[in-house]
Formats: sequence, C-alpha cells, structure tokens
Amino acid sequence: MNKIWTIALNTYKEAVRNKIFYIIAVFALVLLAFSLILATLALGEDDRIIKHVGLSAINIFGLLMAAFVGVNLVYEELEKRTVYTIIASGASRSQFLLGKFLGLFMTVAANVLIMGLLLSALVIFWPQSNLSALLIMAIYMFLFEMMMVCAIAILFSSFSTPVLSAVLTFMCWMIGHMSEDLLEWARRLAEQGSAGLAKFLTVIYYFLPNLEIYNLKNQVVYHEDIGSIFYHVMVYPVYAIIYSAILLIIAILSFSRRDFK
Amino acid sequence: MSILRIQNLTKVYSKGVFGGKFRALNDLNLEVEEGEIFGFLGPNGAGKTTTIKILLRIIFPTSGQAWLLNKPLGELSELHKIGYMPENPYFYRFLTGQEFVMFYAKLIGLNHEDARKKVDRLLDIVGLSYAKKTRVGEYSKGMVTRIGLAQSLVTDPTLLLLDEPMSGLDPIGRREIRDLIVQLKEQKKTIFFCSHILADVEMLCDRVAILNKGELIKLGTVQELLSSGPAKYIVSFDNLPLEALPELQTIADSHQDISGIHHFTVNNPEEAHKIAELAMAKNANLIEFRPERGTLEDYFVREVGTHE
Ligand SMILES: Nc1ncnc2c1ncn2[C@@H]1O[C@H](COP(=O)(O)OP(=O)(O)OP(=O)(O)O)[C@@H](O)[C@H]1O
Ligand SMILES: [Mg+2]
Repeated sequence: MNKIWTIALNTYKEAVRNKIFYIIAVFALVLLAFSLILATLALGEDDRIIKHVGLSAINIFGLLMAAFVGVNLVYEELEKRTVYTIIASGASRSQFLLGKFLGLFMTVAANVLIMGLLLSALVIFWPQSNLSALLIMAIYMFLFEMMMVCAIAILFSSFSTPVLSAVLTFMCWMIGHMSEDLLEWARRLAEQGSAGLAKFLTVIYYFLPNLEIYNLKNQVVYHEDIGSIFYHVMVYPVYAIIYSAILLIIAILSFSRRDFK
Repeated sequence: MSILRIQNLTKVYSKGVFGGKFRALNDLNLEVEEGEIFGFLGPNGAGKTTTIKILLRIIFPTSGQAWLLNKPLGELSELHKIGYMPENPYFYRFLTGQEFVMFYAKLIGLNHEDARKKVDRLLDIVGLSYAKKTRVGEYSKGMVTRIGLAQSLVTDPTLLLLDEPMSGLDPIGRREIRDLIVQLKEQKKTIFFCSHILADVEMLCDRVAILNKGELIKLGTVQELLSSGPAKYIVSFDNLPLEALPELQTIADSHQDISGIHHFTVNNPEEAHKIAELAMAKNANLIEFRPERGTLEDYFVREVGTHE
C-alpha cells in the first residue's frame, strides 16, 4: 500500500506540473468566467446559466484531464523507461498500475473539487443565484463518473498507444452517456427484425458503464427531482467503484506478464 | 558464492505483427562472484541490456533461469538489495533531483526523515548537491547519469547492475564515477556493468565477459584476456643513422618515425634484442625497450571480429 501511495503521489506531482494541466485549468476557468458574462446578458436566467455553464466546465475539465493526462501516464513511463527503475526498486507491476490510477484520480478529483468550490462560491455570492444541495450532489456524482473514466484510460493505456487510448476513452465516455438510447435503439432494431445488431447493442449496453446516471446537470439547472437519494449516495457510487475495480484487474492481468520495451 | 548466476538463458523477441523472431540471447551461462567488479562487454545489439532487463523482470526469458543473491528471479523482497541504472536514462522531467531520488527512497519504504538524510548523502556522493533543487528535465546528460547512479544506490544494494554508467560523461566525470565504483567495491558491493569504454573497463574490472550476437564468446580476468593475445615489444631510438634503417626495417614488424625518434615493433624478444644490438652498434641511443601488452580494445576488436 505504501508503494502504491508513493507512486500515486509522484504521479500527482508530475501531472500538476505538466503544461497540459494548466492549459485545461485555464480553459475551464475561462468557461466559468464566460458563464458570468452570459448571466449578466440574459436577464433573469442567471441561476440556470451559471450552473449550467459552470457544471459543463467542470465536466469538460475532468474529462479532458482524465483522458489526456491518463492515457499518457502509463505509456510515457514505458516509453521513457522510468518504469524499469520502479520495478527494480521492488514495486510490483500491479502496484505500479494501481499507483498510476490512484494518482490520476487524485489529480482529477482534487481539481474537480477546487472548481466545484469556485462554482459554489460563485453561486453563493451571485445575487440572483444560490447554492443548492443538488449542485453539491452533482459534483459528488461527477467524481464517480471520473473514477470510471480514469480506470478506462488506464486500462487502454496499459496496452495501447496514447492516441488510440484517448480515442477509445472518449468513445467509451460518449457511449456511456448514450447508454439508455442504446437500449432504446436495440429495442427498435429488434422490432424491425435486425436481431443481430440489436444483440450487439445490448451487449455493449451491458459492458459499458451507464454514465448518464452520474449526470445531474439538468436536474440542477431545472430543479428537477433526482429520484432516490439512496441510489445516488450509495448504490451508484458503489457501482462505479466495482466497475473501476474490474477494469483495473483486467489492466493488471494484461500488464503483468508482458515484456516492457 | 556467486551472487549472480545465469543458466541457459535464452531470449527470443517476436518482431512485428507477422511473427518474425529474433534471438537476442542464446543459451547464456554466467556467474558473478561476490565482491567483484564484472564488466559485461559486447558490440551494439549483443544482448547486454536484454540480459539485465531479464534479471530485473522487466522482460521475461524465453527459457533458462537466473538467480540473484541465490534466489530465483521474481522474489520481490530480494530486489531490495539490488541497484539498477538503465542505459540512456530518462527520468521524470518535472521533479527536482532531490524529489526524484526521494521518490525511490520512499518507494522502498523509508520514512520521510530517513529518506531525506539518505537522499542528501547520495546527492553528495554523486556530486549533485548543488543541483538538488533543479528539475531533472533541465539536467545535462552527465548530470542525468549521476542522478541515475544516486537512484541506483538508494536501496543500499549488495549488487549493482549498471547499464553503461559512464556514457555521456566528460573525462573528469568518468574519473569520478570510476572512483565511486572502486569505493563501492571497497564497501563489499558487487558491481556488474555494461560499457563500451574499454579503457575504463580495463582499469576497473576484475573479470569481464564478452558477448556477441547473444552468445558468450569470452570470459576471464582482464589479465588472462590480454596475455592470451600475441605479445609485442617496442624498441625506440634517438640519433639513429639513416643508413641503419633498411636493415632494421626488414627485421621489425613495423616502424614509425615520430619527430626523429624511431619506434620499432617486433613480435618476440629475440628480434627486439637483435634490433637493439644492431642499432647501438651504429651509435644510436636506446631510449625505450618495452613489452607491449595489447589493450582490451585491441582484444575486443580482434575477438569480436573473428566471430563475425
Ligand atoms: N523489444 C524488442 N523487440 C525486438 N528486438 C529487440 C527488442 N529489444 C532488443 N531487441 C534486439 O535484441 C538485440 C539485443 O539488444 P540489447 O539492447 O540487449 O543490446 P545491447 O547489447 O544492450 O546493445 P547496446 O550496446 O547497443 O546497448 C538487438 O539486436 C535488438 O535489436
Ligand atoms: Mg544496451
């Protein structure tokens, strides 16, 4: 555990000193500022616009971080052979991979939280807006979505190149958000007689995480009911943890017997 | 007791998607004794790095076995006593030298206080104290080599595997690293290193192995290898009258005139004697008469050449 933690901290340190980190962070902050401008222009819609643009900024920031930083992490260590000395210091390959995942998730989570705090401060101080429990819930749920995206990125990068991993990670993220639609398509296709394609979509549905359940943006913006609190606080997060764990186990298995270049 | 034992080690790399195979190591057998400095030589692509990577479980052998500190490969706890420095190391660019070595100290489980002390000491040993707050990304090649050595010493290794530790160093740096390696030997550490700088190997190593195309072609002490080569003698004169030259040249293997000093190289002591007598009879001044040991480089070039 100590080794995993050391590798995680190191990953975090490296990540936050990387240029791409600042580029993404600045981009997200600009978006946040942009929401304020929009809010002053669109009279009476302040609350909705700030929350909508603010949450979107956090989402985009988190996703870009997890995907772009994540897919490079393992690859770079292999490419630059830094993994050699880590293995030679007695850390196992699974400890290495788990450390990388944890470091990546820490980086993303810490920054999602900081931006969440900024957004919260913004709505508290903005006259026509206010902090709702839902907003906090949305950020909480988003962290679990990010956990899965980090695990996906680590999994891909444990056996593929950064570019391909990034593409695959984005695809998984997109399909993960269209998960309900996928099932709907499958149902319609089955009705039209394309049973094979319907099966395929259903399989994808079961293999990819349903990420849409972690997206509470609309509910926050339009003050809608989110349904069971218990599901949101407990069940969905546990699902995310189990799903990530399975991905990481697969990553470790594919990683542990292969030759490093 | 041998601290490193390699038995019938073979590595076949598969190349590309079409299943091409490349035999990088072929049935290698080798033993390194405790406390020695062992030079692992061979031309580019001989399989040196491949061997070290197998020992560290960075890659897996196709067949064969190896033992480090008398334990078969893969027993994690034993790796704690091994230090490793990769060739052309490329380290975390965004960490400072101190943070970098600190990372490895923490990785082997030292607490912050101990790690700190150790890191400062190691940076001092490799002569990088002045740059400990500088990011590794800004280090020169020689500095990277040094930080790599500091990193390899974090574990207090009994066995050090160094893959080309002198590459990229200036003459002073090389001298310093050489001295450091000798110091490490005095601390009873075993050092196994690859190098292309044969002058260094000759000065440092107790024994050397020469690898070529994945096969061991020579193993022995530097003395043994050098004395196995043909002996040569060099006789040099000052004031040699020119009319004496043709006769001497027919006896000698080769002749060189370097600003008025004539050097003759011969293959045996009798010829050397004859040349000396003839020349002195013509009133030349004998200024040097010495047997010439070939260098390890000569030996290396000859041996590897015959195995082409
Ligand atoms: N991952 C790999 N896939 C295929 N072939 C490889 C791989 N790694 C090394 N080789 C081949 O194996 C051979 C031995 O390589 P190795 O790196 O062990 O040589 P070396 O003795 O360390 O050489 P150098 O002095 O250049 O460092 C080379 O011909 C190399 O091309
Ligand atoms: Mg090499």
